Amino acid sequence: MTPTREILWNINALGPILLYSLMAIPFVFLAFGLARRVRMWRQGQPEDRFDRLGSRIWHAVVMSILHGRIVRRRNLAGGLMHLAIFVGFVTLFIGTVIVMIEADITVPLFGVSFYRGDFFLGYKLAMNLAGVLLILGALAALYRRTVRRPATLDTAGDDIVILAFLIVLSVQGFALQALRMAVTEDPWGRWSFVSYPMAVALSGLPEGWLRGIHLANWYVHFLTNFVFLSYVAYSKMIHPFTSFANVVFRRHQPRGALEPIENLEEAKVLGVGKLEDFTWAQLLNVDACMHCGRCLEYCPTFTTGKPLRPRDLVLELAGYMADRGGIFSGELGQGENSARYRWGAGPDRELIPEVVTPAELWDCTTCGACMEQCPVYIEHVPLIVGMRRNLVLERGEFPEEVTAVFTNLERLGSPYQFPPNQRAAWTKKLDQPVPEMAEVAARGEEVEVLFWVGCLGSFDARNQRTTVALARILQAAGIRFAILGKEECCTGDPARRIGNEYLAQMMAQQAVETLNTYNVKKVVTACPHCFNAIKNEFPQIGGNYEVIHHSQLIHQLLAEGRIQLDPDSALARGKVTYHDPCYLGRYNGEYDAPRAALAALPGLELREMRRNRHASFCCGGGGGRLFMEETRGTRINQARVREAMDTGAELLAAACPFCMTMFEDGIHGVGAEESFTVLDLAEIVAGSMIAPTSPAGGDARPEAATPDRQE
Amino acid sequence: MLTGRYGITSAAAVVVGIALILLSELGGVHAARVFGTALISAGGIALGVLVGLDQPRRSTGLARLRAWRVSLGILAAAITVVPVVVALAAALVALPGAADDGRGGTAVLGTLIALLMLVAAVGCFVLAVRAIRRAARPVTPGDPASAGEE
Amino acid sequence: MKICVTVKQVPDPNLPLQVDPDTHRLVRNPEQSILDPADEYGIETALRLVEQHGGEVVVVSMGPLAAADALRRGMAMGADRAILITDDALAGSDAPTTARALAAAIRPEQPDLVICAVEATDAYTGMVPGMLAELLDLPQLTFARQVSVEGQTITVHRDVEGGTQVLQTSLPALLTVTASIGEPRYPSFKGVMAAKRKPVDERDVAALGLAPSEVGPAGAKERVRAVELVREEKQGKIVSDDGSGSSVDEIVAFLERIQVV
Repeated sequence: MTPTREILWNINALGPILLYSLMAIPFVFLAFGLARRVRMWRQGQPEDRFDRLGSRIWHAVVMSILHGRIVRRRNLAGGLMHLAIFVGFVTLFIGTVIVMIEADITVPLFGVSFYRGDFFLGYKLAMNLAGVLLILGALAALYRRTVRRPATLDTAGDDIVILAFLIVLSVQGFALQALRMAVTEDPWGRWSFVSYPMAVALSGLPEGWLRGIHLANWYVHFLTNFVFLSYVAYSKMIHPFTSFANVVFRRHQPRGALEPIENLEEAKVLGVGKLEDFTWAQLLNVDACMHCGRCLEYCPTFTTGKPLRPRDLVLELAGYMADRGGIFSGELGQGENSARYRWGAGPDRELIPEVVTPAELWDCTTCGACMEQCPVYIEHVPLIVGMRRNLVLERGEFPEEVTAVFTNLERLGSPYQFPPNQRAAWTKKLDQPVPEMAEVAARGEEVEVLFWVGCLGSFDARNQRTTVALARILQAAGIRFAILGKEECCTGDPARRIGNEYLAQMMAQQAVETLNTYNVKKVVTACPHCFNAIKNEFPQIGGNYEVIHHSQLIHQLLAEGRIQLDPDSALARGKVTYHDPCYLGRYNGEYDAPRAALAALPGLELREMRRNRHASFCCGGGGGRLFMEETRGTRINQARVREAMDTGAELLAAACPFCMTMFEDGIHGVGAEESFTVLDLAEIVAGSMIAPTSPAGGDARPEAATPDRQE
Repeated sequence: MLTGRYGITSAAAVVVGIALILLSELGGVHAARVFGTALISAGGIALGVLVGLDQPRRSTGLARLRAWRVSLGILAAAITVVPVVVALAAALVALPGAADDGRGGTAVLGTLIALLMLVAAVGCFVLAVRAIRRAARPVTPGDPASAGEE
Repeated sequence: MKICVTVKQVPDPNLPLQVDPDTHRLVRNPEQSILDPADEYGIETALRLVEQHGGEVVVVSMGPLAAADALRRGMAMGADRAILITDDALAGSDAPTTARALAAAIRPEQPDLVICAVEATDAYTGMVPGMLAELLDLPQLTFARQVSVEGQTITVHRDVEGGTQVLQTSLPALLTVTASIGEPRYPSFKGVMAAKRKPVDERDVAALGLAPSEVGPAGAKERVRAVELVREEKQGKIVSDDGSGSSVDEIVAFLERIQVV
């Protein structure tokens, strides 16, 4: 006898009539809920995300199946839980479709039946396995939500109801199978390894009873399915549609590049002052959020108790969108969700401050931890910068401290109140002169690389030491380089991230013009913010250069043996920990070069912090925060300094002047000046250099090696 | 819009689809089933999209339904779990009678599985009812305290 | 109420200044010139009063055509319109001539209030406001750090030795404000764009009804004889601590020598 089963066993004609006729209802509900959302997205500004649609969809499918951003080393439990539910659900769905193909297409139309034999047995096994996975995954999720309750996870009614649906549906499926097999006594029943023992247990009951209970369960099972399907669009279960769409239409530009406001002087929309000012893809972003809270895990503002929680910001927008005619993903969580995210407070609220508060917007350090963590590629920072732009450009509202930064940038080309002709003042600390590009060009010479010093490296006393150290390294390696001197200006990074797009474009334009005047090809900088702007944002306005970060250059010089280090250097002894700057690591993917450079000093033992590499924790200085007072929550820089000290290291290696400033301040803040030091990578390397054979390198024990703290 | 050309076409598709299903199940023309299903699905999806893309409107019928949402939700939850609870409970009751044909061990295992599933199903019911009741409580938007947390 | 604010375009004080050795005048490079930061306080004061009571803010300046940039900045902050007194004949005017020209431009406006900075950030004479008050026949309230208007009465608070003086007079009046009046707003981009469409009314000497002999070097009663650089002196002394305690004595001795203690 060939293994198979009778489809619609125990069900008379009424069953399929009801099943298929009523099918229209869940489809109406599902399509309505989706269309409602699409209607909202279409109110956004135009933006082209339809390029290379095929590869976009392919990538999204692969990411969904492989769970690329869901199962991660740091989110293993939650990721595997989701994977179990996903595999279970999808397998069972495919199983249902297979039965439908057999019963409704191949048999009635072509007289072909494939639902038998080995295929059937394998199918039974797979379906039982899937059911188990689904139940276990959903139970784990319930446990997580009701018992473990991690701080980053908020649970609403919807979450519970979805999981209850999944568990009950699976249990119904198993019960149906067991009831049927208790009557039919299939000899191959063991392949259904979960239902078979239940079938055996049930087999003692009279057949009439079994058939009756089976019939009731069959009708209720399909009705439950229909109710669940109808519910999907009004709950987080919509995520296979919205989140998938969000992955398809994700932004492909480098994440370090903010979209400029094109043609600013004529632009009608200055940043985001109302919901419709977001692009459609950003509105889709908002709807794609499934409240998972992973964006909070490495978020500097959430972790230090500030009002900004990236998830909440997105959901406040989602709630507002729902108030204006959309649908909140989790209507059944109304009580909790509305309390948390102000959903339901009305459609006529002003976006800022009634939906999103200025405090939330100004707290962001733009570190990108939220975006790196988000399993569905929501981009929080552009949302925040968009709204900041509106506050700055349209309303002229921003933290008071920023006024001076803007004024200085505008007049002096730097956030600090120093005249441009003092930019090269630090070169006096070197024995060997550093040529300026203007002189080099006047002599008709060329340089290998332009050293872009940056404003902090030029004017800030502490960071000048890094600049000097890097110049020493370049000189020791015999690299022909020059600086721009008084012609250098800000790249526009802080202004752009604070939201002053006008000023940012002015700065970037000026910088690109200068670089192009000298036909610069290659740039090295010790500032990841400059690095990111030059690499990712200058191409937007016709500035294309090869730019490398000093950690990369130092690593390269060490690897090529162009600089020699003293393995017994006094500086390079003991335990060191390295802090990944956001704009070098997360935004530009460079994690290894700085570590490799440190590894060149065998006396140094590298101790990693708990939060490192792509899950690094911000110093608190990005997004213009360096220039603002930290008035809410606890100090971000002190949190990071404590974490660095917890590794047992005495030395913190930095690779960014913003981080340097924040950490110097943080070390003072925690009162660890005696026991803990922060040095830039360049300072550590320059301080350990063996004087090169040429007399030019001179003083191999630069002052960089002896950190003096008076500033 | 439901009264527009597309609306009428979509609704007609659903009706014709149902007719095909009746033909298939009562008339024995099983080949008609898949076409009926396709028409019903497409018609349903089209209706949903048409209404969804249209201006939102206040519907008094939905508002009245909303007023009953807690009771409806609990009722639905109960209908959902009662048959499966009966089935699983039956497996517990049937154990003594099933144990005599040499498959006693399997039967005990089956009973155990049924018991676990029973607990899961009932637990889900309880949690879902709590969640439904909780969701319906009046709250002040933006005030986490009024949701009974934080 | 209508408020006239006098403003001046000055070389950016953060950048190195250059003086023409022949004319003894500041070299004014329009690229490196800005609205006098001291004037921003006056504009801020005017804007706050108008936000409270309604009315109009007019910024008035005398200078080369390029000084219109400074006026635009004032309008970007929120001033409604501008008057630029510009004429080649005016170059080299002294304080009284400047006051006369400003008075001639302001008088027909019949403002309720004229606001000036205490002094300009380039020459620091501080003479124009007083002269302007005299020429316009207005009571002057100087060094205000707080201003309020009620009906036709204006009240100012000003810091004096050992306390605060509260002065009151009836409008119209002239006011000079200090930096304590409140942080000036940073013009939003929207403001900058709007300022481009706001009118700048240019007036030459003839339009003001002044004779060419009254203005410029011809009308000036003062002559700049020489301009000298301040000799840079080391203002501090670094005493390094060698742990012996002698550095303390050294510091005390130093402080006694310069008669601080």
